[in-house]
Amino acid sequence: MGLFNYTPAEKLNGQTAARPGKRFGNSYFRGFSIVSFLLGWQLLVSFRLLELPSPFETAIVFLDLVVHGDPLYNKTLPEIVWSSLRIVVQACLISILIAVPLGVLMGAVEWFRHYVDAMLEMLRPIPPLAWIPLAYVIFANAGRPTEYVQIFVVFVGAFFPILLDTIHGISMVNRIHVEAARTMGASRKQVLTQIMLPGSLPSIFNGIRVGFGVGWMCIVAAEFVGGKLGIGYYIWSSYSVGGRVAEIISGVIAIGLVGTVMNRFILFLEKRLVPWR
Amino acid sequence: MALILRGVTHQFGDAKVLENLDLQVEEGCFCCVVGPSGCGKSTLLRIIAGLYQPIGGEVLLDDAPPSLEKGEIGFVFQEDALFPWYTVEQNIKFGLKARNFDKEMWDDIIQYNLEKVGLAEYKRYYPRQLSGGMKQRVAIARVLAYNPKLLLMDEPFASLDSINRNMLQADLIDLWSREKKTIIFVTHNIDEAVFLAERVVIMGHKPGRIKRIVDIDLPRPRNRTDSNFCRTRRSILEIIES
Amino acid sequence: MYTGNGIKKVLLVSVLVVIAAMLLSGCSGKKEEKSGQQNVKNDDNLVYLVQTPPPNMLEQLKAKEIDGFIAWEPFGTTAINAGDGKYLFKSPDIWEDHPCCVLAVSQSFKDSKTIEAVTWAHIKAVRFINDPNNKEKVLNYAAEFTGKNPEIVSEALKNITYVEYPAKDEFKEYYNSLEEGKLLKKSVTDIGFADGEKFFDGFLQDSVYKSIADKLDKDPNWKPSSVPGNIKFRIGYLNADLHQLPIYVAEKEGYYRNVGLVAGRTLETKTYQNGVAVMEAFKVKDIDMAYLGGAPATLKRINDDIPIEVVAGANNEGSGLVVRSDLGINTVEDLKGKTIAVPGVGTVQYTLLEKALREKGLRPVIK
Repeated sequence: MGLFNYTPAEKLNGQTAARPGKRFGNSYFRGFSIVSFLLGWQLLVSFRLLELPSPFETAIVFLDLVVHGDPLYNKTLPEIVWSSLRIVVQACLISILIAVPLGVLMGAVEWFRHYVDAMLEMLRPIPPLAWIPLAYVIFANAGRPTEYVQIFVVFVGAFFPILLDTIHGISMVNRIHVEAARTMGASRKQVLTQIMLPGSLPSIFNGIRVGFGVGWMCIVAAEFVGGKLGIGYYIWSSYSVGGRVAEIISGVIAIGLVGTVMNRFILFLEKRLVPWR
Repeated sequence: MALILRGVTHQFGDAKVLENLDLQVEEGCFCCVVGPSGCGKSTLLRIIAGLYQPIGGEVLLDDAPPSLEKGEIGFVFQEDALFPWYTVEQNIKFGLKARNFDKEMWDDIIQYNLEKVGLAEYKRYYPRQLSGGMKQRVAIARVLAYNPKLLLMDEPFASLDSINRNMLQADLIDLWSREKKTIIFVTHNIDEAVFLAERVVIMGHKPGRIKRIVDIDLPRPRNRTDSNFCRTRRSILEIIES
Repeated sequence: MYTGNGIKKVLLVSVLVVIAAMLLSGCSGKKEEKSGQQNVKNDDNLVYLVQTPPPNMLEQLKAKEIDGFIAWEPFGTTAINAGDGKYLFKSPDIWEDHPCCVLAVSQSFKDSKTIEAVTWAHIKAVRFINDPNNKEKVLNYAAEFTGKNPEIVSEALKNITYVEYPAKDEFKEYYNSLEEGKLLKKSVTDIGFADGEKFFDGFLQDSVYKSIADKLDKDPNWKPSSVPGNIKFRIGYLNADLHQLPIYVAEKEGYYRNVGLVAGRTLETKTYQNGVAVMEAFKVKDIDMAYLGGAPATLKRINDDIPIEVVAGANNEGSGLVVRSDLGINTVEDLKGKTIAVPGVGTVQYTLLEKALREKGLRPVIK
C-alpha cells in the first residue's frame, strides 16, 4: 500500500493472488526504507554536509509542536493542519460533485464529450497556482474571497484526475453488461445510473484518491494568498522569520503524514463501498 | 409464426457481415445456429434482439419489429453478463424493475426462478462467489424471470467444462420441454446443436449467409453415442465444411 | 430498496461526508462570528490577525473579509482612494522614526570603492527626494516606479520619510520586540557577538555613510572616484516598492552614471518579491548590495546568520493601519474582536500593530 498501488486493471479482476510469506518480506523492506532514510539524514547532519537539525532534534520539535504548539502563533500543529485539511476536503468534495457527473456524461454521450473536451483541453495544462490572481477577480464580491480562492485552487488540482478517471471508468464498462441491461428493457437512465456508474466506480475511486492527493499538494500553493493560518502558510511564515528549519521540516512531515492517512482512508472506504471487487 | 427475418443484411465499416438472410422460426421451436467463427452468428442474434439495426431487410417478431423497451427478449451471453455489483437476487430484480413488474411479486418470482435452476439458497451471493456454471444458471433465471417471448442464447455454455456443460444442456432441454419457449441458440459446438435443437441453421461465412437448415427429429432424451445421433452430426459437419 | 447495496452506500456516505464537512467548516458566515464571540467571552481583549501579502489585503478589505489591514505605502492610500477604508493611525502616531527599508551590503563583498560609490549615489538620491524644489519631479519618478496613478502616489509620499541613515535606538527597540515575541531562534552570541551593543555596532555600519555625508556637507558637489569599468556590480531591490524610490532616482538623475555604474555594463539590477527573497539572494551570493526591509534583514541576519551590514537607510515610517469606514472604528480600542491582516509575523508592520494594541491592553492572536 503506497505510491505504487495504482490499482491496475488486472488487480480489479482479482488476478493477483498474494503469495504466502511475501507480505512479511515487503513489510520488512518498508521498515528498512524508513530506517535507511533516517540514517542518511543523520549522516548528512553529522558530517555537516547540510545544515539541518538531526532527526532526533526534529522529532522533539515535532512532538512539542503537536502537544504545546508554536509560541509564535499560539497554535498546535494539529490545529494548523486541520485548518488546511478543511479547505482541501471541501474543495475535493466539490470536485467530486462536479467531475463525476460530468465524467459520466462525457463517457456516455459522445457529442457532449467532444463539446466539453475542447474547453477542458485548454484548461488542463494551467497550473493551479496560476489561477490565484484570476480567482481573486472572480470571487472579489463573494464575501470571503481568500477562502474561496484557496478552495478554488485546490478544486482545480483535484478536478482533472477525478474527471479523467471517471471518463476512463465509463469507457471501460463491460459492453456485455450494457447490452444485457438493454435487452432486459432498461431505460437509458437506468443503464447510466445502474450499470455505467457502478461499473466505473472502481476507476472513479482511483480518481478520487489521486484527486485528493493532488489537492492536498496544492494547499501549500493555495495558502500563499494568506488568510487563516494553515500548514502551507505556516511553513512559509516559518521560513520568512528564519532559523526555524526544524519547524519547517515538522510542517513538511505533517503534510506527508496527512497525505498518507488520507490515501489509506480512501482505500478503506473503497473496500467498504465496492464490496463486489 | 413467431420470428421472421427477411433479407437481413449488415456490415461493419466496409466488411459485409450478413448478406440477404431469410429465416423463419415458429413459436416454441428450439433452433440452433452453427457455423464457423466469424460468420456473423453473434451479430445475427444482436440484430434479432434489436441491439443493432440491420442496414437492410427486416426483422419481425409477432408481426412487429423487435423493440428493446418491450423486453420481449431474454438474452443469455457467453459469460460475465451478471452485474458484479449486484447479488444474485438483485441481478434478477433488475430485469423485473426494468419490465415494471409489480413489486409485491418480486420475491416470489425470484424464489420460483432460482428454484428452477436449483440455486435458491444463493440469493445473497455476489457473482464472484459463484462458479462459472452457477453464473450461467443465474443468467438464465434472470431472463426467465420476466418471461420473455424469445430466448436468445449466445454460446452460453462455451466457457464451461464438459461435465458442467452437459448438465446445463440437459437442464435447458428440461426447461424448454416444460415451458415451450422459442429459443435461438448460437453455438460452434455441433455436438451441442444436435443434442439440443429441433432445427439447426447452418451458416457459411464471408459474407455470413444461411447454407442449409436441417430439422432434427431424434427422440428425446437424446443419446450422444446413438448411431443416428452420430450420423446427423457427421452430415452437419459435412455441410459446414463443404 | 432495489438499488444495489454498493450504490446506496456510496450515496449515503457521500451525503454524510458533505454534511460533516459543511458542519465542520461552519459554512455560514454567521456561525463563524458566533464561535468568535465565544472565544471573546473567555478573553474579551482579543484582536484577530491573519497573515496576507499586501496586494491581497486590498481585495479582502473590499470584500469585507477583513476589518482592516496594516501595510506599507502605497497600499494604505490605494485602499482609501478606492473608498474601501480610512486610516486609523499612521506609523509615526505609534512609533516615531521606526526603521523601515535599508540599504545593505553582503559582508563578502569587499570592494570598498564600489560600496562608497553606491552609498554616495543613494545619499544624493535621498537628498534630491527631500529637496522641496524637486517635488514635481519626485512625484513623476514615484508614479513611474510604482505604476500607480500620481494622486495615490502623492498621498502615499506624504506618509513616508526618506532618511539617509536609520535611528539606531529605534532599531534596537525593534530587536527587543522580536526577542520578546520569541521570534529570534538564535541569540546574537550564537552568531559571534559579545552582546546586543556589539551586534548593532557591526550590523548598522554607519562609517561609510558618515564619511560621505561629511564630505558632502563641506562640498555638495563632491563625488567619489568612479568604479573601474570592468566590474560587474549587482544590486537587488523590491519591485515597485515606494520605500525604495532612491534607487530609481539615483538611476534617473544620473548619480550611478556619475560614478561609473552603467546599467547593463557595470551595474546589474535585480528585483525581488519580498525581503525574504532578497536575504536568500544574499545567502547564495546572487547580489552584492540590496534595498530591503529592516525586518527581514534583522530576522534573517540573526536567525539564519546571513552576513550583511546596513550601510544606509532608505526610509522611516511609511506604514499605516487602514480600517473599514463602515464599522465605526475610531480608536485602537475599537479593534477589539476585529480581524486585521498583517504582512507576516515579525514584520515591522506586525511589530507596530502589536505595540499599538498592547498599549491599550488588547492581545493579538493569529487566526
